[in-house]
Amino acid sequence: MSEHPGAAASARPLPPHHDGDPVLGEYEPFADTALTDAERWPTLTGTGAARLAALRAHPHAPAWVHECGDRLGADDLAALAHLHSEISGAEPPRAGSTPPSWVTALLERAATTVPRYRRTWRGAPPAFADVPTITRADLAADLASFVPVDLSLADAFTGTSTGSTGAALVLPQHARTVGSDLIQLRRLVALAGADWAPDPGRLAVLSVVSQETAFTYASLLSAFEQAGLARINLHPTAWRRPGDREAFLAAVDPQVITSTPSALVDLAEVEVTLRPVAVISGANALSPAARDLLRARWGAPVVDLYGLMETGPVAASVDGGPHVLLPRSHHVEVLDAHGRGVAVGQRGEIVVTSAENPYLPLLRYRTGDHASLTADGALADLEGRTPVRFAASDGTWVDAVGLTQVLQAHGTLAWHLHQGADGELRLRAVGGDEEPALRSIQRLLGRRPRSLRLARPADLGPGKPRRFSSEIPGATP
Amino acid sequence: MMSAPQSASTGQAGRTGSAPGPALSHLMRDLAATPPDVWDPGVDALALWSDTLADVARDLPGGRDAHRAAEPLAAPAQGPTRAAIGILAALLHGPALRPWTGWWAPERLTEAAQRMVGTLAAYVPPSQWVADPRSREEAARLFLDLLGLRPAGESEAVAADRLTALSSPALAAALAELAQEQRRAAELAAQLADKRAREAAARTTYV
Repeated sequence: MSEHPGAAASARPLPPHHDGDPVLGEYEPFADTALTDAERWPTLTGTGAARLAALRAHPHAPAWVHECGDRLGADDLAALAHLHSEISGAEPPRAGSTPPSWVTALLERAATTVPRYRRTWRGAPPAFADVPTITRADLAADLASFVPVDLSLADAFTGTSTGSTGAALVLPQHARTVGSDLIQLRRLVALAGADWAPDPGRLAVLSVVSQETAFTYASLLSAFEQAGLARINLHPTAWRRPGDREAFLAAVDPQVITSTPSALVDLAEVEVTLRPVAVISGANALSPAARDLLRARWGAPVVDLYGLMETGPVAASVDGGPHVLLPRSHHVEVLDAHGRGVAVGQRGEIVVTSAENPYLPLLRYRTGDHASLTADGALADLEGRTPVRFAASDGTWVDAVGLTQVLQAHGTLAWHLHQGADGELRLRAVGGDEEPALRSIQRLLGRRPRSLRLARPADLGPGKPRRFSSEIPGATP
Repeated sequence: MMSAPQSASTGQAGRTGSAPGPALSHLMRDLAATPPDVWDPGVDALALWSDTLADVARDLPGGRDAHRAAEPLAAPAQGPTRAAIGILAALLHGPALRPWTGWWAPERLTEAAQRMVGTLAAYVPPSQWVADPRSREEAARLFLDLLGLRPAGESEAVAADRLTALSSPALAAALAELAQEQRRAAELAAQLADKRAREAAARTTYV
């Protein structure tokens, strides 16, 4: 689910800088719900429906602001069951320059059905090594030219990047692709030595955010015996009464907790006893210190997942070591500055070719993230997903996601917001409404940035756009 | 010199009705007179297009500069057919199209250029737009069409017929492909904006 802002209902006063920004006012609770439960969970059973109803109406539940299912039909579930049996004991693929055999078919398909490539290749793709790389900017500039023309879009739904690091994008997504994440998680949890089977008495997955505004919802996992899933927001304004947050967490007793490093650290500080079988961290880099803290807090394995919204999960570190590739239709290269594959032990940019999302096949997609290639084809010393938070004038921290929300709402095309050691802010931005954006940032942080307007995103510098940076200690938890 | 035309809409480039434009022969003459600089690999095609928008497009609201409107051509400006951008820039500055200076929104000019570079140039190399008379007429007619104009003295129906009749099988395929891609882009935008799509699906991972 994307990080759409969702207004959280609360009768309590908010800290001054947490006043809801008017520019986010269009995001009303349940404003983006349109499906029936039968469409959200096409195979919904009576048991599942009862479980969902109990979760929605839980006496300590947060003030849910969204509804969201997995949209998986019987055919999808059969395919995912097959995938589960296929990958459970699978050896991980290896990153490197030699593409797997399925890449040939992907190139041929792109050459005839993907506008971007058929215009140039006219049905005859080049050798894989000669395929030009693409970037997020290419998708942002002309998304339709990367979507095959021969697929019905009727079942496509949106996926939006979180905006915590790179440029946010709205992309077409497929239910089976998104649903396969759960199958990958089951494999990773098993690899970590944990047992994870559906338990009617526990929530299967707790998805956690910790920010001013966010979508929250109660849901079910069709591919996991319709066990429960809840997406909650730790922010106090997301709950109806003091104490509800702790009571809800204790009651649902989650098996697997999935979140970002900063929200997991926030959850670890909540005074409630949880006993997860595994903790999944994603979106941003997980520091060794945070990993140790989480492991010590819950006594469960901590899996650091690497991926992008454009590709889905790509690799995971189960034990703090290198990120090992997931068995998916991904071919991962590590390229140097000249676009050549690096030797083992050398650093380079992670470039992904993916056939996972039928609506968005990717050929040599430059992630903007960097890693070293290990001898066994894993990714070591991954960098490029560093989360940043900002110090407000009252001494509290504000997550960068909130700033992304207001900057995007004001139409800002690309930006870099930097906070100096003295707390001063400097915004370099392209497009959008400058003055209202500055006022929104001031509302959030209590400080007004110095502003520099740029002509185009490329003026922000080469490579993946770094949206946020800070010199304040603790800004990158 | 013709009387000042009214401004074109900011709508999509394409075959959706047209206004009288310059004489086809004048436009083809401008194409044939394309300055040799456009073949210089050192030319920054994106900067050239930005400058062209600043020179010939309608004023941008709010004093925005032309760089943003040129941005969709960033990738083609690095590609093998980037000379096409230079040819179109020269054409927009040429005598035939000069009376239409200030007529188009910059986004529309960029989209027309995208179509010329992305579709026609895939079938007909830009060098032939200049050197080969038949290709020159194809390029001139298609560019006018994408700009919402038709050759002087031709009705909409005649202009459309002549473009179709002139079309080599390659250009006919290019036009069909262009139309398909335009429909598809509109379909994708509509689907992603639809409330049912925006409800999205529950996720178990953060990436």
